[in-house]
Amino acid sequence: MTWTNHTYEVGEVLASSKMTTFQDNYTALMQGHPGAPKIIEAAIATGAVKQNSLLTTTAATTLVVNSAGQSLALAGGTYSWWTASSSAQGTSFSNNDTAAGVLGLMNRSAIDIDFYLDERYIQASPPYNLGNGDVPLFVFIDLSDEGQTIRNVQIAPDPPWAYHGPTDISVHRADPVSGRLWGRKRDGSEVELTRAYKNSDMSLIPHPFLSVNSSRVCLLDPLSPVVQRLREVLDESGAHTARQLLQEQKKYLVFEESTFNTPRGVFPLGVRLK
Amino acid sequence: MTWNALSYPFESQLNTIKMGQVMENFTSIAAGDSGAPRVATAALAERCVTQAKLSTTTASGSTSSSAFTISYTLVGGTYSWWTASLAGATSSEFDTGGFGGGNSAAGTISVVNISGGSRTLHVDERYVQSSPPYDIGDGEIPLFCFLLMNQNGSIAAIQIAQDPPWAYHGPTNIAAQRWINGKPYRKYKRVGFGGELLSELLRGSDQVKISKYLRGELQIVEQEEEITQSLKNRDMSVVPHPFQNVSPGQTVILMDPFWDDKLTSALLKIQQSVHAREVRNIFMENMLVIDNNGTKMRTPPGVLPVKCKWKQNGKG
Repeated sequence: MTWTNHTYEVGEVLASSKMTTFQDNYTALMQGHPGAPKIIEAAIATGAVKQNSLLTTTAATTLVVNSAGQSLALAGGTYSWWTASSSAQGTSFSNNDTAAGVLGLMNRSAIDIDFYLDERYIQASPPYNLGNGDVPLFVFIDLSDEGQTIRNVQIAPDPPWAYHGPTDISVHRADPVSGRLWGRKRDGSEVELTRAYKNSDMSLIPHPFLSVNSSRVCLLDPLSPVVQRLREVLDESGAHTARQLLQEQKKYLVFEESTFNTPRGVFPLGVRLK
Repeated sequence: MTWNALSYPFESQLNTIKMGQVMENFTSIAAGDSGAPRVATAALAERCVTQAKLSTTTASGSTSSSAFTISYTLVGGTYSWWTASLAGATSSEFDTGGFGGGNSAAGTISVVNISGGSRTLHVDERYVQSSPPYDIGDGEIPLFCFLLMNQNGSIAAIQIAQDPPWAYHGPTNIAAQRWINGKPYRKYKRVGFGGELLSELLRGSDQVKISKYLRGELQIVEQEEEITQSLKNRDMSVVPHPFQNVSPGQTVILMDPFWDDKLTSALLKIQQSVHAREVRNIFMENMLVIDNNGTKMRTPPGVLPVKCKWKQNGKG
């Protein structure tokens, strides 16, 4: 279906084909087909955009903060609403001038403190594919005590490189028929938002724990039934619940070596229920 | 009005009725009637969703407590832009106002108070709304004014907002996914037909049952339901009021918005035209008389409905 520009000549008989394309124009307009007028600000009623009109999702992070200072990439970058809490007193903003969409934290005490972050953020152009299929959920974890303790964790449908780094992956134009998306480069030129393009900054921000050595960070197998189930939990009850569930249900989980594509230095980790 | 799926067979006659339906379709499409095509992302001009297009409103509150953790339930939950400040801390209290509260829920602010004395956390919000208004049995409530009263009649905590705290906290999501004839609907997942909400199970403490869910051993049924007033208030008993620091002897009250319509209208007008913060100030600066006696208005459990009126020498 495409948008059809109609003109009406004096004395012209309206043919059924013309009226059919006229009817099709309603759909072409609403789906944004090439040539159709765009819906501009004035056409949207004041207050029309409610919670569910926005393409949002949630993310949850636990980060161990120590006296050395930590930087944490918000999953939603600069499009994030967030709240935070910590396991004990002593955590505050710190760590010099971090980037936009990044929290700088420090803990003045001698003991490690868990910092809990919950986000809701506006998405640009999911999904993402690292080469093994579309990723339903990114679960980055940092295991310590020989795999017995989940030290740091971030659960989000978008990876940290999506909204950090120099590449803008927000949609400038979409083809409603093929589903192909285009963004804009900094010079104003159009670029198709392919899976590969959306991962342009993967090597720059391979994981969200910016002050943690990559060698300790794992990505849970995104195509495993456990991670797919966690995505359902996130959709139904929020990432906060998914994170809590991952930590509470850890005794029922088995982590094991696996092979799938991950960001540079991030360890691929299989997961299954006992 | 409904969407007309018009077809034009070869040699059919185009009459005034059909042209009238062509015209009606413009209204139908704009109103989002059932069957009408929906606005897709590709149809929107870039940067067309400006501030006023968002269904937002403001909220304001404060809470004073001498507890080690001072917590605040954001009215807007995870859809809230908020700013906060803390009053009363001295320069020696390094950690007061810092993050604390353990793994508190999303949409909740928790800060540490190491002083042992009372410190006050002030919070102002703008948040994206879902589906107001709310009716808990006596009519639609235009403005929720919750207060936590000390025994001596002073205000320990306050929250002013168009939405109640249970709207965007608790397991029940009340954001409409689609509208049919002006009524909001959403798909809910339940454990078995008519069983508990999956979100309720996931937020609960039954780890064995949660484990069964993870293993795919529970039957999950998805069903679309109208977001009725009853559903919107489903979490009222879970989050009956916004105050997390309630001490013995303190009383949670809700201003009865129906007792003095003029006062309620005036406060709502201030909230809408300026900010909920100004309404908070009206309460905090003792410009109102808050009655001790409850009214007959229905309220959440543990919350006393009270009359409020302007002081004679005050505004109004």
